Amino acid sequence: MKKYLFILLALCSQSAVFAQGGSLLDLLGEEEETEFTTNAFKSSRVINSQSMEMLQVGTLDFRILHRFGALNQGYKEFFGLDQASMRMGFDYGVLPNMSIGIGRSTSKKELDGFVKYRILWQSKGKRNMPLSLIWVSGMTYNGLPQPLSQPDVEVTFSRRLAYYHQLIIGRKFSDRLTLQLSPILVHRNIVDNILVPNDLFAVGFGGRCKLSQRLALVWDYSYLINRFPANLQSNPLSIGFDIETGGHVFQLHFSNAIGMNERAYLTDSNDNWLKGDIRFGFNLSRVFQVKKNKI
Amino acid sequence: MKKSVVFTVLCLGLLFVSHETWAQQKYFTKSGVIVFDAEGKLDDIEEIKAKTTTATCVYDEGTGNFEWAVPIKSFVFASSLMQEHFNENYLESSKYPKSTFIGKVEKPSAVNLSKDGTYPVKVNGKLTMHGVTQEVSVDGQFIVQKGVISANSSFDIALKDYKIDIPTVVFMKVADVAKVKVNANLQALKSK
Repeated sequence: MKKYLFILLALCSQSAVFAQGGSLLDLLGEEEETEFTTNAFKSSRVINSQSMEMLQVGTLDFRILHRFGALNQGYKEFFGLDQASMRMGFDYGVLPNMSIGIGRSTSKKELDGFVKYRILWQSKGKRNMPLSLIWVSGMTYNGLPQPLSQPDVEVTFSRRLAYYHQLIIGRKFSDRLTLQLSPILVHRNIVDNILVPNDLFAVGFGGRCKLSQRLALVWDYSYLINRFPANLQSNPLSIGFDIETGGHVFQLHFSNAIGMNERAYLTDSNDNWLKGDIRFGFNLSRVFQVKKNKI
Repeated sequence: MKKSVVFTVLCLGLLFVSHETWAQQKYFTKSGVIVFDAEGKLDDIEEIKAKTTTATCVYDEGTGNFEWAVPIKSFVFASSLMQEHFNENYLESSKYPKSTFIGKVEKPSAVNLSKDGTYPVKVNGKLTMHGVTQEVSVDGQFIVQKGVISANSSFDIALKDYKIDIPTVVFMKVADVAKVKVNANLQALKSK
């Protein structure tokens, strides 16, 4: 009889002890989830080239870009600020992995449009993906009354056009560092002479180093593979800072490139950094939520 | 022999009865709703409001222990940009992915979740957010209606207490004190 009582007591106390150990939340067990990498860059552009960052669905990015004259013109030209070239553009996030955009540049009165699609999205957790892969295809239209250098060549619609296709391979290594590599092909329907290639290949090297919560150092360089005349021209290099202030992102930078779309900054002649032909420029990005998220 | 069999049956019976009545039932949810509102003085256009529906919690009826966890990235804002700032600049969700509350209901014996009714409670515990832990005490209630158990509460959080810095440019837009509303439908947790 005592034995039974003892067993009874033991059983009761055991269940009581069992109920108290460990965290309650551990009882639920946790499912591992996929965590997608966000904020690899502050903006959808490194400086001139597209970044591995996509716009969120339903957001409209109004972008105003300025490039000033060369700094080494001195005070007479107020270090280049007296001259300005600009591009105004609208980008829109259609799907989580797809954005579209249009823009108009003062230089060559050029219109441009692009489609950007994210094929792979860097993630960790349940689905582990070391990098993001993004495809961009775009088109430009030269709007000058006389777009061609030879006056005897007939101006047709197709001769005003150029296309570009780009693959962006990017990785956010840490909160601080993001790097990307972006091979690009620019095709111009007509070029100045037989030595200038219609198909121009280049490789972009872009990156970001975050300095603080609102400030980041960014750089953007493109190596042109088959440009003519390669020995006389410089590859576009831009270095700047991304400054975030709530709704706006300011990208302030110095660059030897004048163009603000892929055709322009890659194929138009760029200045030489070493000679001091550097220009100040800025990109201003203001994001509007057109389609509100449901909460 | 007969006596001992009867006694065994009695003992086992008692054992079951004791488990039925004294067993400390636990309740849980994986779809708790948390809404917070940090609407400042100067902002009439955009509402600074977010909601998650994937908060998890477990409540132990016997001890009164009440534990919560919520992934910061699960909060959805009407504006994606605001959501980005919330994660990237304010809550730093990649560094501090979760917010937790480990607390205890005062006088849990006053709450009988197997009986319909409204049971106001006070919950004391530690709230961890943005890597900072603070002692908090909040009022809430359990509501049992036709066997459906829900727990809800609303309380305020001073952002400063959790080292969430609102930059001077936007400080008038974001309130110093965020209003938080919590609501969860609880289910009995079956022991595995």
